[in-house]
Amino acid sequence: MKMNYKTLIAICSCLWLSAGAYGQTQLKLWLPSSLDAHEKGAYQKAAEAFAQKNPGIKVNVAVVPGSETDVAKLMTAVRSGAGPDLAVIDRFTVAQRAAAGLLTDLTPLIKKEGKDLSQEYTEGPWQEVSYQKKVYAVPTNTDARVLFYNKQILKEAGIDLAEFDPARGPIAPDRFKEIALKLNQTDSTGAYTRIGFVPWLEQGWGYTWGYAFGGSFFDFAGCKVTATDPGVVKGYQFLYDWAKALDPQKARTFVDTYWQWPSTGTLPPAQMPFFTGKVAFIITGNWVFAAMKDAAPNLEYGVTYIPAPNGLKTSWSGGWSVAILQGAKNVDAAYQLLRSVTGEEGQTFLVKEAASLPTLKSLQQRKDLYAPEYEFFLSLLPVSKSRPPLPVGALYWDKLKEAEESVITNSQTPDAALKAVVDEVQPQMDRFCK
Amino acid sequence: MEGPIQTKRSASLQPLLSRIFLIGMSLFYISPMYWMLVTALKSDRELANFPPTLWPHEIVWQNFDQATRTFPFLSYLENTIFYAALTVLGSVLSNFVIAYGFSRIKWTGRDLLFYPVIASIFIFIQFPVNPITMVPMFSFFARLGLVNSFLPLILPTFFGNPFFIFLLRQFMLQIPADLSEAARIDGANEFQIMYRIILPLARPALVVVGLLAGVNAWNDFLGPLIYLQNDKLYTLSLGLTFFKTMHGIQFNLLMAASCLVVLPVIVVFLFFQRFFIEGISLGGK
Amino acid sequence: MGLLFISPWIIGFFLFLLYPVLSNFHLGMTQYSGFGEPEWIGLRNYQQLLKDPLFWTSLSNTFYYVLLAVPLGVAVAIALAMAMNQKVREVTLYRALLYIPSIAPIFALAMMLIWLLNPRFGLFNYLLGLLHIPAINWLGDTRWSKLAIVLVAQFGAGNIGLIFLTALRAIPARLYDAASLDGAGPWKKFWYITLPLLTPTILYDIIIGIGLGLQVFVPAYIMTDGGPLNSTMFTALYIYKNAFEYSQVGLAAAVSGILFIINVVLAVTIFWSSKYWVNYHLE
Repeated sequence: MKMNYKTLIAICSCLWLSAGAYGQTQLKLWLPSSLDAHEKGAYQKAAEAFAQKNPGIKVNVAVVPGSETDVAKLMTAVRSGAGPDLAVIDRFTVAQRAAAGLLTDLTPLIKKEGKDLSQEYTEGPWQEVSYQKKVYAVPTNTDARVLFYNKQILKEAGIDLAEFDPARGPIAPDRFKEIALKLNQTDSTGAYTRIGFVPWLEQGWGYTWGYAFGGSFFDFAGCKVTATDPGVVKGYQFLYDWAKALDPQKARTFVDTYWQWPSTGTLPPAQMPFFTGKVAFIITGNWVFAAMKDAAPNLEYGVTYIPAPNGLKTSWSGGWSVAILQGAKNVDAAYQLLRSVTGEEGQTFLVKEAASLPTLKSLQQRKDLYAPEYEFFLSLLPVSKSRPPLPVGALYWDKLKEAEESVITNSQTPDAALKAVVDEVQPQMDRFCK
Repeated sequence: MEGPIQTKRSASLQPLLSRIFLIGMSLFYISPMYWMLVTALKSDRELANFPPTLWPHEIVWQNFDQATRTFPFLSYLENTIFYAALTVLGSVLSNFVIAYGFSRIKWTGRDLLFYPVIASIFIFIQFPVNPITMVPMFSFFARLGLVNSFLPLILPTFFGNPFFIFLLRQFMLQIPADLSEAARIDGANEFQIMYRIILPLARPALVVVGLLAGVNAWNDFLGPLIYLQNDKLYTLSLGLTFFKTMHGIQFNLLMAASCLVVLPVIVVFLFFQRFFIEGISLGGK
Repeated sequence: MGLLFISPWIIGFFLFLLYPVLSNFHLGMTQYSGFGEPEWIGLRNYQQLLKDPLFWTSLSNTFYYVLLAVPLGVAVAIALAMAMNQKVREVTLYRALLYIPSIAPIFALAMMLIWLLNPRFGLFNYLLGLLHIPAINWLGDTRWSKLAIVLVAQFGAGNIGLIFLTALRAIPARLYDAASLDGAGPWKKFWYITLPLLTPTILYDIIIGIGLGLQVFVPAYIMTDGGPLNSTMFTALYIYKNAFEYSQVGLAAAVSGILFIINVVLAVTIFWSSKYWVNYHLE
């Protein structure tokens, strides 16, 4: 083994290379893989724009396996000291991640900046990113969910489109079921080739229907998980009955054949349920416009309120945020990037590229940013609910999803399934109740 | 060759029945890989046909190219080769020396201490990371700051794998003791005996160990899943799974990527067939 | 001197076996999110597990899997060995075809099977359709999901098949000759000669199979993520999710400790029972 010449050169080149790196600060931003493709592109562009304006900082954007509730890769990375500086985190999970120790408290940094950010961002999103009076992330985009309908299919079936005019308010669930079931089609073996409406596809989560039926998911005053609230139960009952009407196994096969519940979010745009005409109605949100532009530009569609009893106009909003992880090395530079991506510049990218809605009040008022189809969604923002920000937020979501699954397979009644959710989540929540 | 004897059927019928049996089983076993290849070559449109076509009407070779463009195949390939190579090194070295100690030297307590080795095989069924020990081991490595690297994956291979120890010990017990004895009388120490005499004789078994360890590293999923954080370090196993979550279920591209991951293993097998098949029998005794 | 040679294994034993096993019980009594320090909570994790339906589901799923996969695995391995032992000229080709899937990465096989088992476009359901059997939603139907996972594992039988092949060949031909003279047919020969003499290898396969079965993870993680309705939530997957997704490291360690004990108990039981049915060294 020659110890001398070669190793000397190796050592020198190593030193030289690392010296070269000292001139630049390197920031790493991680995006979860379940993020809509257009949103990923928007974040990338926002990061590039920042890097251009700040020549001493290099930004590396990476997409990492993960979803709203699965941050395993992110957690193991941060635990090992190899985590990124920033990550895009689903807002309703910020409290849970903060409670676990994953995120850096941004309050001192915000104070240093000197602005009162709570006034710049809309109230709901801002509350979601705070935990125990500290701010752990800054919101980027928001959205709203509505009922989309395929005008062509409805016209062919002789259904009066006026019934779905938003000016009439939301259509009653029973009448809606009547119409939707008429649109089912099967092939010679009895398997579905088209289903009018599959309530649990895309954004038809338990939250959607729980809210539509007037339910509430958490009692903040009493620190109680209220999955068994009557409105929520009615919402799950709606799913249960609809699954029964379709025959749960056949419906499941239909969904599994063409997509994979619930990961339709990762489908190539051309295969999205609503675009291929395999369903006539779907609950989804404004972000779908970006995919629609590419994959189904000629689709004749309409939007209206989510079907609900008593004319209740409901929706709920989700959305993401950017946080700085525990153990990040360049906190000040990271904060700068964060503010750029969550500020007007970054949010404008999200609006333009990903058909998002902004969380900055200033941007929401700029009508020139939006095509006419966004009007309806913007109008919903004031009444739109959001998922309760809890230190067990991700767990609650997963358990509600499980309850949903057992209800749509008709293997459990809504009462039993939702009671199980309370039994599992409440003890975890109790740890945090004061 | 011994085995179930031929019954007194006509000599021509037996091979026919054997062939039917063999072809049937082979078709079943090779069907996933055949289907993987066929799906990889299909166009998006043809993919959606039902009933599925058994051979693509139009062969889309571009799927392979497109698959490599949607994930950094070369980088993952390098990492996987690196991981496999070091694993082979560690496995061959450590298990040889350890098995030597358990078989070629007589010392008190030797066979007694071998019981824990056998007993621990069932824990290390998945190697180097197994579900039973992964939680504390991860915390251990995390505390040392060694998680985002190949170290936690490669280190265990340098400390022996009970299965390989067992295998090599069986093999080395069969080498006549006189050889070692004669060398000892001539004044050689254990290291010299191990290196000069036993090592050449153990070569076939060592090749088997190397191959099995290498393939295991190549296919390892759980280990890279929890220990590799930086996508510059990802192996092919992670890359393929990651591919699936990135692109939902675009099956033709996914299958093309799978072909690329499986292909090297098949190539290695075809070269070392003799060792795989003849050498595996060492573990059976 | 011998101790010097086996010293790497001794170090490995303490570091990679003893330490984690003991740590599982220690960590199992803490509340630990993976960040910061573990907090001692005594037996609370174990109490929580007793009440957690998902924990018991994971155990029952795992046992179900083991009970299904191990006997099937033995049968398949013996079938493979007999196939590889056939006297035809191109047997090496068949041996290769039968063996290769076992060295293919299991995650790749899992991906392939997702496609093969697709309810509408998959090959398996197409073949079922030819036999006029209604299509099965393998990965979406709680009744069939575990079977789908067992199926993936069967493709890896090549390795153990070869081991059986060696054992098969070690059976002296004169035993079969003698049986033929007594007028025994192929089935009798299999049942009274082949099988009993294969029992040591069967024991080996059962122990390995139990070990693999209790720790089944990769196919479930890739194909079903524990679904549908947690029907494929195996204990190893439950451990993984708790440790790395739910930040419940203490709980995960507790379950790991329990899994270890189950493993030991089963291995010891099978080994002890082996003296009743395993025949060694019958020459």
